Amino acid sequence: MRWLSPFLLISLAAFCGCKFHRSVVNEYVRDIDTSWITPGVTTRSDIIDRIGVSPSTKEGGGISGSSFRWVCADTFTGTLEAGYIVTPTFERGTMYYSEDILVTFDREGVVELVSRTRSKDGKRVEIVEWRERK
Amino acid sequence: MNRIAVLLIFALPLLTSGCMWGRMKINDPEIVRLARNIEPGKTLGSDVPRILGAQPTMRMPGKEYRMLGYTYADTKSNGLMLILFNFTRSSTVAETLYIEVDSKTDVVTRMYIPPTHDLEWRFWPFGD
Repeated sequence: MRWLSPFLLISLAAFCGCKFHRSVVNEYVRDIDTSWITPGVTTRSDIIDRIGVSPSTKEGGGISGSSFRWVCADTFTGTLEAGYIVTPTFERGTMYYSEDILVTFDREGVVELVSRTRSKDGKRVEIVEWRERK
Repeated sequence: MNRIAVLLIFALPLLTSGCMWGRMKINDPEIVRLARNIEPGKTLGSDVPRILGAQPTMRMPGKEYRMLGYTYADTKSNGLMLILFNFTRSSTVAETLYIEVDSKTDVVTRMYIPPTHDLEWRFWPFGD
């Protein structure tokens, strides 16, 4: 226990603090069911009626004339602020799509591709679904 | 002063906490409530901005129909602010109210009102 007091003293004097921040956008995307979508059969209208359209923002995935994309964006940031008066700040963050659903359509609005990827840390991306029109 | 008292003095700030709550809305999620006044098959596309009180965030023209989208978002941020450690987490839900309008007749033909998602106040940034 003897070493603990100086350690705490130094910690309090040297560091202003550590911050851990997490931001999760559209967690509900993980629960979207895409198993019923059949490329070549399912249409854009079917998808709109059942799961709607993706948010028209970059963070939310986006919409185009030929695709809908839903993403669950996960951001983690760790910050260390050293010192009290002069405070150099060290920050490190990661941002990745923990769930990413892409549905593309042909000119007639029929589904061409359903793709779904998943990641737990942004480093390893697992393709959990990839179905194309034959 | 004995060692335990010294330890307590230095450990106290670690336990002293403050909390933070934040809320941010992008566009008005209330637009969903107003959208229930739109009747597919009756309402004209030109009346939609007046009913909703906003211009669409997405407008995509087409030969047969044009697509209108109203994207809105709601964010809840929560934090546990200690002296040395801060833990914060924010959860955002962004959704799009979708309206389809016939290009020839200008009548609303289809509408998708997104479900309401419950946002939780969470401060712990680790785990799921």
